[in-house]
Amino acid sequence: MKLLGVRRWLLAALVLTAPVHTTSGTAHAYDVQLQAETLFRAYEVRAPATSTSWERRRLIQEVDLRLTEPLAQEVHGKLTPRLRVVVQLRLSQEVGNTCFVGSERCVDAGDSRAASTYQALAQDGVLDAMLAYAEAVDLPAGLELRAGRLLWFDPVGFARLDGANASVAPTSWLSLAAVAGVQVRATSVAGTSAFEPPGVLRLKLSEREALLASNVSPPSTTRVLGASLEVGEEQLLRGQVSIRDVQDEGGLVMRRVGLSLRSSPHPSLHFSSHAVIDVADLALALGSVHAHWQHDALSVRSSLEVRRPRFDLGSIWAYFPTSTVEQVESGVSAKLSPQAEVGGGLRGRRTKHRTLNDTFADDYDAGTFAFTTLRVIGMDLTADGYLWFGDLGDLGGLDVYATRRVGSSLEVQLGTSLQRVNDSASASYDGLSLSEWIRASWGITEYTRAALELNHAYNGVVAHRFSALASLQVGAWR
Amino acid sequence: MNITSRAGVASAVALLIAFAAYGGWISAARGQSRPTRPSPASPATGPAAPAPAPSAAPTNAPPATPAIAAHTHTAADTQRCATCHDALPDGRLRTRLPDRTLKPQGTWLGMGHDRDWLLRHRWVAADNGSLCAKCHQERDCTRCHDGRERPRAIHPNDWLTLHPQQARRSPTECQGCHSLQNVCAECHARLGISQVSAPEVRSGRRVHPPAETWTGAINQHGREASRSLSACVSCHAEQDCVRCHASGASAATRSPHPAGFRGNCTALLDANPRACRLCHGDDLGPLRASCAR
Repeated sequence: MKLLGVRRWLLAALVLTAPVHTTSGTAHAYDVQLQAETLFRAYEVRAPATSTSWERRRLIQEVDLRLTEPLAQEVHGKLTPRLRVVVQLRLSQEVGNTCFVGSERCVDAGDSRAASTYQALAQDGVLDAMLAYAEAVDLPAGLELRAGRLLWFDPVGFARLDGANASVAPTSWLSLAAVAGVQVRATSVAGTSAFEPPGVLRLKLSEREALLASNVSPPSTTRVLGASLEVGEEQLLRGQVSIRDVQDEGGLVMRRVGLSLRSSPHPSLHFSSHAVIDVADLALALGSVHAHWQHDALSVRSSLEVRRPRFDLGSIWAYFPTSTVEQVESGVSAKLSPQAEVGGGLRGRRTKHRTLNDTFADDYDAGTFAFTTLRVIGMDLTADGYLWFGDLGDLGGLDVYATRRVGSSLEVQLGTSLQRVNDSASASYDGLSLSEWIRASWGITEYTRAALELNHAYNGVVAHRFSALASLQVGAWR
Repeated sequence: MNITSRAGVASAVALLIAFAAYGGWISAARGQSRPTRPSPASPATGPAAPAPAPSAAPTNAPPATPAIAAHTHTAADTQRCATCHDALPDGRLRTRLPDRTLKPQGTWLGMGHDRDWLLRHRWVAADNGSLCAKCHQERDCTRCHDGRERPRAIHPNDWLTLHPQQARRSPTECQGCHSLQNVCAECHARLGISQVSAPEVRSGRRVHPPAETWTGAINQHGREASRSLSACVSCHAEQDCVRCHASGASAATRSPHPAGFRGNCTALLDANPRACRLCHGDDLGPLRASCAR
């Protein structure tokens, strides 16, 4: 949504921060938590096949406000009903340009008056209202109610929506939850694109902009309904069934069922399994089985995961054959002492192709990984490496970094990373990439922290790349 | 939301920083630390509790190992965390302690925050989100999943260079945080490597292998699309595929539908005909008849 003017902006900021402002002088029963983070990062985006580079100079400002008011006198050991208001705002402002490599010329990608360089997707200034809801929690029978812009997640995945949800847990072995609302899209008021169903590119464009971007579809209202039922005890078996139905003006976007089972029959054992099924074509979108055993300092894990890309049923992508990626992994870690931990494991992956008339052989890859963390001479040392061999190319990487506290408030991290660049689909992606970074973080107060980071990388694909980051976090409680 | 006025942006940023700094200053001026709710197992009375740092706020967190042993890992217990642990006024547990950070360990409900927690947490959070909320806010999720800063543990080194090979390997994992048709496509468009790039910006160099192997008899693009259709969507608009795959687009048109598709196509057509229209035209009567055959 394009703003009509600066006034609306200022008004929104005033309204959202007013509670802190108005309560600064007097004591109230409710609790106010305000967290703000300002971050500036500069780097350059380039790729070997392009004739342009994007000089990213990005300012990000995030503000989180939480107001909590107990609805009853607090009694220790008992849950106290609470009313809570949560607002999370983010401003993201790009100040860099797109420039043509080898010339001094730069262009503003968001300027629709320059038809030959206008990019409909470019959004240099974005205000996201990531969360804005009121909720009542810890009510009798485990009842929780929430309304506004909220985040919902279950085995089917994340959804951000403008709506309401309710959940109740009358006993330890039963809980129910339901949600209804409108999916937040990039085209929603102060909307963000995260968690949109993948598929159709939708933007709100002016008539002139739409003429320049014929590939873009207009905004659509997408309704989301979800429900979840959990039954059972953790020690024996606890199961969950989740249903998600998403529809827009064109029809069904997604209808999925998520199933999960988990069990902790012994304090040192945990099992879980999940399946997400697309009801429209009864395809398995996601599946997993996990087992974890831990005894004293030794921990062993195994898992099998199956994933398949799925798309908005209103997009053509939903009707193309997609491959299933299956990955099996086993790992072990051991705490040798309070200062030392080592671990590692093996992985195997198969890409199971679904074919048309062609015969595509399945892809196979095998890999291994290892890590160690040590605390020596006042430093935390971490080394992390992996290797992959197989049909998708040989890959490997090693990251080593050391973190040291200097005094009570300064923390310095030095690190280096060496990664093999190898993409069997592109001959230009081959070689090694070496990166080093230094990060200093200063805790000014318990809830105020400033950080500075410098990063350099070199590889044969784009040669040198530098990036710099400065950030300031401020937190306040009342 | 596009913001047209940079002056407006600058004003808003300044205002927000000022408010945040104001709140921080008030808090610091009063010497406030994050308030906690007392509990019987405080350091003064709880023999097993660690001694707090002299200048730190009091904490009553039980020591790590015995505390885990004490958990009986029932769902009911998870409603009473604050019986032993410090709670903040908003009901969450206080995790930032003077001497350490409070984290679940071991196999307790699958929640041990160890080295591979980054990979496993999806499943645990999906199953037991209310338990995560005992310590976390949604902000802790969106910081990565809808963040604007790359977490180095997930995107190491020169990730801009490394990401194509990783995206091919794990096509669905990118979507946990990135919207293909917005975030990925925006960057690719700006760089000129996408079909939706502005005409003057679009690179003249071919991104894919030569046409003979890519779309010719070897049909490498079919294989890559099958493996990682998400990667296609991060650069291409639907019309790019429709151009060749649409019904009757050319003599060489090949249906992209997988084997056995016809058996379910009436139901899919009824569910959402938008995509059908893009390839088969607005008159869906013949298509409906074809599905029924």
